[in-house]
Amino acid sequence: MVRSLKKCGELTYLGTGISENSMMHLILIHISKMAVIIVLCLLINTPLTGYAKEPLLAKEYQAKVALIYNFAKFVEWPDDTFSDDKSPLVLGVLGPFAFKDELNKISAKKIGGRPIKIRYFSSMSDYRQCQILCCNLDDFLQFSVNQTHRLEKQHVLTVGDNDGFGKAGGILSLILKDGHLAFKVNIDSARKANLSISANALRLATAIIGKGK
Amino acid sequence: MSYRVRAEKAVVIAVVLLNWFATSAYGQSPPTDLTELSLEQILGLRIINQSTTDVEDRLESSKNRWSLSYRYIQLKFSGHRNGTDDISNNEVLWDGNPLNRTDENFPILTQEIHQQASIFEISSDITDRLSLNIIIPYIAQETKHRSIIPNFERFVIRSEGLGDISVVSTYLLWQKRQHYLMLNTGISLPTGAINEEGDTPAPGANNQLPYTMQLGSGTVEASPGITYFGKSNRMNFGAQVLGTLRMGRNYRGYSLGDRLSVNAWLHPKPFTCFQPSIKIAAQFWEKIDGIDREFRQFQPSFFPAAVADPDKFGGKKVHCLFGMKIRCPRRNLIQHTFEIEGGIPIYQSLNGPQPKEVWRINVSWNWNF
Repeated sequence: MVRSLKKCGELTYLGTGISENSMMHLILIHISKMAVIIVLCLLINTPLTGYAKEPLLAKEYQAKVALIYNFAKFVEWPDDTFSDDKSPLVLGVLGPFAFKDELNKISAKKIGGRPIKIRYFSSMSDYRQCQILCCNLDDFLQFSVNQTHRLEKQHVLTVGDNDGFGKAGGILSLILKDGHLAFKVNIDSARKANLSISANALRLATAIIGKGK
Repeated sequence: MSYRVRAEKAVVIAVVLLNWFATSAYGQSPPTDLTELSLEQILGLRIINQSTTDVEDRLESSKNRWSLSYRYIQLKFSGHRNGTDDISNNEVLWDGNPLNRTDENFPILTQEIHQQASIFEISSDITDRLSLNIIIPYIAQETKHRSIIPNFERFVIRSEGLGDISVVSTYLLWQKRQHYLMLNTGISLPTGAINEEGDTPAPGANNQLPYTMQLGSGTVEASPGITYFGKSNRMNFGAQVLGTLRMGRNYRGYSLGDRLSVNAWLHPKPFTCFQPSIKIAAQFWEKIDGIDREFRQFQPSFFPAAVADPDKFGGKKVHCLFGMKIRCPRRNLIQHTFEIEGGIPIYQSLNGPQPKEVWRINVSWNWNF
């Protein structure tokens, strides 16, 4: 009975009194409505939480190490800095620098074709020549009392994670600003150390300290 | 509602939730190796702060971070207030003349109350967004009395012991730049005693002490709340609304009133080591519901002391508190924070006569590890 009725397109759904043709029409309308609702939902929801609007989260120390690594790519050291083409770029860490553990993670990488070598100096007396020196402001201030000339002569890119680091004579200061990482460059100190920093990096700095002359 | 409409709604909700989770998760995922990013991309990252130990910053810190803290709180109550009017001790202490007896004077006068609490707290950041705290208070309190009862003209009662232990979770609901919105949910367990006894003018050697001298509430309590934090380079600021809802009456037949506290604070950051703070804290709390079975004998007559009358509880208070947070930026000390805060009520409207608060102070040490 059901089969015969279905053939002629007059299958009656129990209790609804709706013909099969009418039912198909309703289903199509329903699917169309659902599709419109889903598209609207996606359109409304996506801009609120979407990838394009939401910056990526990163831990401070990882981001700072990445910034040091990337910034160093824009720095040109004088020819006499390295003994030969294969000499490593030495990254020194003086004292209890906050993210020295993270720095170890870039030791397998290269900058300008040179391998990176990480050295730790527990105090100023341990200091040996390096091309990048990470230290906190207190240590830098103590160090620079009578060692500034030494750092300049050795063309050392000094890096600190304190806003006052640049004013104290450090070259690269890493700071947090409105939940984002930012950096300042003391261009006078860089010039004294005979370091050339690309304009592509300088244009991203929140502040350039000094006149660069 | 028809099946079709319900199904349609379910699909819509599922799509919205799936999309939200998908986009949120995608937006929150940090890249595995940040050194592969360009300088511009690194500067565009939203940073999870690791270099400070602010309470606020703990919410942004890495997973499985623990913190241990100890807080000492002391409060002093002295004198009485009814509404916003101060009442002298002579008005509250009944003179013994039956013609002068009212429900606002008593044969026993509470002169001074000193409450001290040592609060131990351990907290763990379960995820980047969720932290869980266990709070264990140890309470010691003392009340000095005067009375018109012979041999009890002046007497002191004390109680001391474990208070109500609570478990509190904080969930970071929303964050945009340096603004954070957090959901607080807490539950307090009735671990504090509510049958503390002492030598009072009542007949017998040991008598049930009034509500103010008990160490716990005797009831399970829920503490929902919402907290906002904002940060800038020069200051931190925030506000919090926190409720305390008592679940039923305790076995002695009463429940302390529900409580609502609203706080707002400002922490200027002039120095790295010292961070002053100012806080305005408002509290609203209700009268005691029910009555301790020991004090039922006084109903409907007069109570022997204001602190035994359940109607002489509740009111509104606004405190102004000043504080100082100290932390040393040296690497081996940066995980430790010391804080001292003290203040006075600048407004008290009490269902009285009720002992009025004079001052409060709290000192704390926090260690993140």
